[in-house]
Amino acid sequence: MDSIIRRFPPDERFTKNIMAVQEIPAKVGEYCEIPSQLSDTIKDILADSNINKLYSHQGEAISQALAGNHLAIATGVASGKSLCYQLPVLDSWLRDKESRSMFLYPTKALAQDQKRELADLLSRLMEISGQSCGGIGIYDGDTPTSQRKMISQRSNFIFTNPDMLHLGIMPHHTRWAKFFSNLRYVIIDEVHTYRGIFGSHFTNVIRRLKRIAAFYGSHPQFICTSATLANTSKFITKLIEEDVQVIDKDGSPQGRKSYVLYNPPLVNRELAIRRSAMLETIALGEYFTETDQQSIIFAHTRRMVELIVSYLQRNLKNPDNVLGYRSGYLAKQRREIESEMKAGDINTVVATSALELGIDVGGLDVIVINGYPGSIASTLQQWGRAGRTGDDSLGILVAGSDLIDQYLVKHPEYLFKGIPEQALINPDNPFILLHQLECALFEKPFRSGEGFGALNGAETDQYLDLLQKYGKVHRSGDKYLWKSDTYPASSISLRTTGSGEYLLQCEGLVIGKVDEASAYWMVHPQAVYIHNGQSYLVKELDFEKHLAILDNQPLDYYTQSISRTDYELLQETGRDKEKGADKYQGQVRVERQVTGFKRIKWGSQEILDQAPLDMPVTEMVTMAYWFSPTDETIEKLKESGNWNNTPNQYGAAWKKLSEKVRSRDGFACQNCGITETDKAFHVHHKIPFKQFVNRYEANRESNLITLCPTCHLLAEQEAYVQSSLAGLGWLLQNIAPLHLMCDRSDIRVDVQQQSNLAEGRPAVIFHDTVPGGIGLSTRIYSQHKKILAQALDIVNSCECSAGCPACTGPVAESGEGAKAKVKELLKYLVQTDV
Amino acid sequence: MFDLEKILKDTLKDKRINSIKDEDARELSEILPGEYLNKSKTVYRAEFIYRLPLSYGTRELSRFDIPEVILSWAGMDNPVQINNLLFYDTETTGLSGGVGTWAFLTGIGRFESDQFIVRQYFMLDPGSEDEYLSELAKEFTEDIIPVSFNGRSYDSNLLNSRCIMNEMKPFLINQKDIDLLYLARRLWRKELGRCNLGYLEEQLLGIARDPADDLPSEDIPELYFEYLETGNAELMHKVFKHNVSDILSMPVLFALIVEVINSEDPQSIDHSALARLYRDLGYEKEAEACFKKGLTGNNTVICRAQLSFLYKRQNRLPEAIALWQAAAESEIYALIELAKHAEHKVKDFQSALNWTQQAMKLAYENEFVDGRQIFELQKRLNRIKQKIERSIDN
Repeated sequence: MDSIIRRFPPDERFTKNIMAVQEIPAKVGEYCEIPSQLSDTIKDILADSNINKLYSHQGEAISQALAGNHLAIATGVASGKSLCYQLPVLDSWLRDKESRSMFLYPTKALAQDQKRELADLLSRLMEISGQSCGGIGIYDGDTPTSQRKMISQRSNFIFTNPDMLHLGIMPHHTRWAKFFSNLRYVIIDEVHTYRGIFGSHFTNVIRRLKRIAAFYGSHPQFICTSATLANTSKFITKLIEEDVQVIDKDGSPQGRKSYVLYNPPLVNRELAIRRSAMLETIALGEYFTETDQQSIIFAHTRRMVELIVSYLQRNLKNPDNVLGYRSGYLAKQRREIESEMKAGDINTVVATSALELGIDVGGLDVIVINGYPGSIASTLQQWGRAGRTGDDSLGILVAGSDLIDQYLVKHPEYLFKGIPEQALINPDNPFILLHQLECALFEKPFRSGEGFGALNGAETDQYLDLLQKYGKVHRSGDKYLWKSDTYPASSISLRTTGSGEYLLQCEGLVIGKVDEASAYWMVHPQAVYIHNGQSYLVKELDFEKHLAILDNQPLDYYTQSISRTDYELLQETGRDKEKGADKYQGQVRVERQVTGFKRIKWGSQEILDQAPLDMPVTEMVTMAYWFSPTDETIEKLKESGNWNNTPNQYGAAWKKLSEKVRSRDGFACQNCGITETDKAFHVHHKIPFKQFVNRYEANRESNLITLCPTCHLLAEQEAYVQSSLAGLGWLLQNIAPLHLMCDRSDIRVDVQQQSNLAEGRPAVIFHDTVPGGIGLSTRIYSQHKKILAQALDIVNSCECSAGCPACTGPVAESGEGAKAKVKELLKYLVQTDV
Repeated sequence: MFDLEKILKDTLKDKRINSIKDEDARELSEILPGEYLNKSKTVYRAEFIYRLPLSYGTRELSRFDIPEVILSWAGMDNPVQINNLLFYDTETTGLSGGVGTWAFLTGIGRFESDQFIVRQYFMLDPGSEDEYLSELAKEFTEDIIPVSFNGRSYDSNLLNSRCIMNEMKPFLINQKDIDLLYLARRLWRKELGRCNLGYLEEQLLGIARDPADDLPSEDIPELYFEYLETGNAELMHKVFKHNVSDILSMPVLFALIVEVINSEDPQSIDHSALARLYRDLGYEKEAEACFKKGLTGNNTVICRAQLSFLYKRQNRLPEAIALWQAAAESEIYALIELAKHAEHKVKDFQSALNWTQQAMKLAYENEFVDGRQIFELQKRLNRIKQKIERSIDN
């Protein structure tokens, strides 16, 4: 780090926090001829705009498209991806003016900007060719009812989104007969965003689309744009159920790029507490604004954006230089912002994510990301915004105190080698599939054996027969017909599994939704719920109305629910032996009851108090992966527990108290029954001392029990094993999102001492929190070795002394020395010779 | 394969229960006068004949003449005989009108000499919908004029949709039609507020349907489903009756509308609609007055546009221009008219260019970018530019 990094502040106050740097030299563009198969009119307008060659990836993409292949273009930001689909679409219109195409965008902002670009190209083509055109229309929730008929009948090009397609277009497809009869292309932008539940629904919506298009005689071609994923080709193929050509070699010229991993300095070494990432981001932001460098600062939440903007505006000489970007700006406003940025009137934009931007500011000089955005793919995409053609650019990730943030800045190969995550979907999740089949049935009757997308006839019929049993289907010969007065599309959201939801309401407004199964542990009464950087206290949970009433309050603590969970194995789909443990995967029924909760202080992680709760039991079926250390491993662990057990400081009055307890228990061991002879027996804490708020709680007589030395040793060993498993569970819950593109709450890690999933032996269990499962847990099944090796790596490299939330959990949670115990356990589970 | 029902039991719990087939159920032919139209007995047609005049509420069902105004309102040039009117109404399995909805019963009504005849087509098996539609289509011949209540928004779309689903040519697509709801709204919305058929029947025709006999529309789909499961035609009896009432109300309502329009002093009517009616009848003074009243109402945009075209036709250009200038900020047609005027009358090409460019800008900003409109604007722009160049050369 001795050479000066271009654009980065040279001051030591900043440079000493740099953990790693990657310099990528400038790259010249790779060009190719304009594909000859394109019509002359298109070649003319390209020539008019002085475009006589294309980037290599553009040429490749266009040729592939014209050859009739399904495509995905996964090149960087500002590499001219739009042209890759605009030209084939317009070319097909030139050859057949009745041809239609559909464009799917995740945000309205993107749709509007793309519509404008297409309109420009189209008008020039109309001028030269003299061929008139029906038009281009945006068809979404905002489209006025009075215009819908006209837009659907006359437009050659429709811009819409998956929700509208699902709810407003497909169920009324006869109004779109002409459109579907002539449908040539379906363009899917930012296709990598369709993952998890949303992606699983999306695949089904596409199945319905293709089914109805086929009814009208069309077989559209798909062109997608995507960010790079670890499994780009596999993922998109699974999503649209077609073989896709992936074009990811970027031929656009790149200026020199520098990427910096930045870690705020430690302010408390023992507890591994660092200076706030936001403050560091603000300091960096000030530097870039004052040195006139065009930059974007990405922050996780709207609240964060507002905070950063207000700090910057307060400290800078020229506060108008900084703009906080909010989504929902109208087209006019966005264009104003664009031109102000291009003119240099605004230097710095602070925003929540690259997608919400939807503005074209060309390239930027600096990108600062405040805290890891949740996936490597997003990080690379946000960094990808930096760099005007030919100019140097700088991308910085400022690490937060989260485990993964810390891990990534210490293991730069993840971000620098660009190993993004896999995106996962499970279109055949039974809950999702049931609802989607209802919609498909509404749209067109099924024949027995017909099948649905990649789902075969027999499986599809199974669902349809079930619907018939429950009164929704009329059978006539071999046909299944929808028999109901309801409109199935309106009763499902593409973002949930629809198996019962709770609405979260604050001051009369709905701010979010959670699945029923999750509601009891996420928004139980008195729970603290974090949303968009704000904290809310749950005042009431209404079981009948399925409503959680929240109160927006700044709080200095958060809550963690305590629950009892039982598992029932429905179907085992895999099992194998790994080092020191057996691993399994399958479908399970999870029965859970929240029995209480803890209040934990932010920052110090101290447990403030604990209270019981009376909540109903929930049941759900989902996918799971679990592993169980072998008996041999447990034995080894217990042995090492003998040497490593540290004595606790129980307080001066302990001697008296222990006498009292032994007397209460008749001086007999409560486990094996033998009585004291010469030496006093031990008094043991049922719930370990360290898990209490204070010693008075821990030393309550109900928590104390007399045990003979042998039984005490066994109990301590049990506690040791428990503690190491608990610590490992916490650690793995933190690591899992690194391998899957998911939130922490999408997967749950649980530890059972005597699990019926593992024939009574202890087990660490991962299950998807989505009913029916997405496949997250079972993905980890195949990554078992890697995950445990990584766990060991993290625990070895964490700077705390005995444990912290960033690795094995707060000290108070898993007991003191959890870190050491986890290290011990992992020794037996991880291949060290690899 | 895992037990799907067990997994999904929570999601499925509030589905409906199928009724069992009733072996002793009465058939349709035992309850309603009519016949099965095909061998497989999947289509039934009931028929009722009413001698005219028929007393109906406070009025009566009888023949009437259709005024020119209504025909031109409906876009028809030739005179129409009342026998050519085909009144129709559907009973369906859902209000959404989406592709999963069936129109299982369609009734039609026609005047024939001194009678009014109602025929109802009923679909016994949704799996044979194509046969039902084929029979129904025979009623919709070239020469008939369909008349409905809300048919434009609902019934005709639904029937056409069913045809498309059965890969048949839709029989209601290109025909001119008359929608009595639209007419009624024009005439009575301000006065009465609501315009659903039941309410209008009550207020204007003095009809009160007997609650014991009649049925709320929401219940109709469930009755049909139960009929499909049990085969019990009794369930359909009330539905047929309800449908007959709906059909009979239409010609009576139509007659009342004709009466109101023919009268000297129509009140509480939408100004722009009335004004256009006057204009079409040739009463231009009355039309102008009506449009002017409408300028301050809630039809400003339409009234302003229509009035400006009236002035233009009467060659009262300064008045027309004043209106276009007022509308220029947001209405593309006004900009085009100003451009036309500047280009052809005043020969002020620069202004014409400005107006056209503004129009183009507005066109792009629309939710729907109209390809044809842009094409035309582009042509106009090019032509004006050429004229400018030529005048510079001279």
